[in-house]
Amino acid sequence: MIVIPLVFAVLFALALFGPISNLGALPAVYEAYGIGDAVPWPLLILAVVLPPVLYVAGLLLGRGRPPFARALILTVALATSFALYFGIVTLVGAIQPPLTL
Amino acid sequence: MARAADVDEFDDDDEALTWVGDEEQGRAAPRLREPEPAVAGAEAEPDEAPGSRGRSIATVAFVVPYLAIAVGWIFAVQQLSSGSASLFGEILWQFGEFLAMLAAPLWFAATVTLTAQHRPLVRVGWLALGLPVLLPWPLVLQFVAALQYAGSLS
Repeated sequence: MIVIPLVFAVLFALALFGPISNLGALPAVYEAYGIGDAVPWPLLILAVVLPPVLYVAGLLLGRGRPPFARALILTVALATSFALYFGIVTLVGAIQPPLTL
Repeated sequence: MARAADVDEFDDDDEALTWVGDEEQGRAAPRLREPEPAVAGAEAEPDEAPGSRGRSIATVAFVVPYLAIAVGWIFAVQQLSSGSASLFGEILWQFGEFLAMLAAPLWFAATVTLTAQHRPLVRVGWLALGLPVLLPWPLVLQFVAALQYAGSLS
């Protein structure tokens, strides 16, 4: 019963690697290029919040269901998390001001 | 003509006498164990769950959009690059791209599988929710940017 949530907890934690890296590194890069005021904080924070929110949603939707259904729901949640993260990354790049050194 | 062996052995009515004309007057004859195949085929009705037709229509209607989203993600990941200097980061990015391409088919399959006994609107709701959530936004944003650039040139 606990194996599936644990396995996907690890996978969702791995999905946080990129968002947390961006949250830590992007502001410094923007500052170095003189556009520190344009750091898209809402998007960076949203990217970090999405994986745990989708993980919890997957757990709630899978409550009372057979193991296969729970694993399927959590897999969909994980895939959705990555898909939305790539959308956020692209949006951050699209709204980024021109870089000047 | 019914034979003694055809009578349901668990039916107490087997022991009751029947009179000519019982069926005409509404009194049922003893149940037979196995009905005639021809009669069974003619009287059998399809055992469908309630709303199955609506669920089927919803499923078919969403197949093409979800297929388009999956194809869109295949093109979208070609435009993405991790920019990560670490091998671990690159592996995670590739894993994420793989899952992003599978997101739409997985969402569709999960919805169809898990809403088999629900009302059609439940399936329609989940499939409709999946469309904007799983849209290949990298591709869409690049398309919008290209339109804006083309608009600025003209």
